Amino acid sequence: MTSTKTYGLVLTAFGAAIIAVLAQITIPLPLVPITGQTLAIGLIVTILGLKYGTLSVLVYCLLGAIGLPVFTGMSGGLSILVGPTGGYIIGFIPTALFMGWYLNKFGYTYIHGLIANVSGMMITLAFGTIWLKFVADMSLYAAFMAGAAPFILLEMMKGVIAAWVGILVRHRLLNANLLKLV
Amino acid sequence: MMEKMIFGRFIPGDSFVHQLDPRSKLIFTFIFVVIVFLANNVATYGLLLIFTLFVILISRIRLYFLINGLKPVIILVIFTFLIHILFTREGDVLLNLGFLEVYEGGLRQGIFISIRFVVLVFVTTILTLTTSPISITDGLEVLLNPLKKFKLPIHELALMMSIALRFIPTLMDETDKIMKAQMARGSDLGAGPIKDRIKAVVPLLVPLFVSAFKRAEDLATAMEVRGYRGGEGRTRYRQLKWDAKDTTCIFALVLMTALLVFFRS
Repeated sequence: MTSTKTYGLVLTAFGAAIIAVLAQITIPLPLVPITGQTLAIGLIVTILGLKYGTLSVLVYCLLGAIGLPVFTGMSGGLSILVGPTGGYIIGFIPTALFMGWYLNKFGYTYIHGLIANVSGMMITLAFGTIWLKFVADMSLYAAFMAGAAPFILLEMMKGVIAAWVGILVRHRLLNANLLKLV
Repeated sequence: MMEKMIFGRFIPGDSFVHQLDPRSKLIFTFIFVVIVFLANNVATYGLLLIFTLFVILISRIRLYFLINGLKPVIILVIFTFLIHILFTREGDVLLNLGFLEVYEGGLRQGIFISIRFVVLVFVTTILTLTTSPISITDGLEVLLNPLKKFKLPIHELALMMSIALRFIPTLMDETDKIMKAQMARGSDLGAGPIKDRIKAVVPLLVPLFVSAFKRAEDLATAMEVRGYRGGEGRTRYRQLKWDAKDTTCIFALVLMTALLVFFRS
């Protein structure tokens, strides 16, 4: 029988790998195709929960930092993290922490999944904006207009999708007794 | 695509920078990212540019790859430049078009910030272009080792990174297979009302997670029967070696920091 610690380690590594794969998938929609990592982050935390979700996100960010093209559009490298858009990536970690904490506390239902995912998206955007403000020496207003305003609607929509699909997949896995988190 | 996922953006070579120990490169890059923010006038930004050009030269990386690294951030760099040109109002007016006034301070600030971004992107790109992901992971594990005292799971993090590194291509393959299998059963991601398209992702995700859980279980068992019991007392297959080159590299960085502090206003 394997110890839960080794299994947990390996599971987290697989979680990070799943995020990396999902971040490259696109759902074709008219006008704006839904892509990328924010959706994948929301999904993984909704499905795996606080501990494994957050750790997976952390490992995913580290993989990106050391140069694997795991971020949206096959990009990666420390340059993304220290560049003007680095705040979003760093924001993923508090986002995952908050979402996992919230879902653990209030339960993995559609409505709470929705609240967790949409507020998670807001946390990511807030980190992105504040980071942009400092790195680019902008006013907070200019940083908001450049770094958050154009994406808010789309990110909200992704939050709704991540919540819906995430909770659905989690329930299916639980019902089939396949969600092995320990 | 598969190759890209295994090697990241690493380009093999035998230049001075390639031969450095991943630890010295990591230290260099992290300190460089901090000292870039010391620059605040023409002399210091000039120094940064010359230093970066020198690093590019000795790394013998083709400029094409560096420009490629700039791509994901170029729009924001241009945007920031324009914001400074339009909204920073210091110094003399350089250009007056009635509706638009460009100030000297705005232009200067815009150019400085653009240099800052370009230099940051170039140096960090060189790190990942000259070092393979697995040696960066090794280097990070050794460098962060002291943090173990604070109960931070450094060995575990490095191990998880190595495992993910190994299994990303496998899971990509698997996703592709599942997609094709579901398509053969008549599911269509690209058609139907929006609700159906989104719902079509579920039969993709469920098997992906199930297979990941199963693989994780198998791998964990395989590791334990081979005697894995955490990082304590574990020896390593890939040894790191610190030599004179690495010391030179750190010395150059210290010199650069001193120059920046001396010339900044």
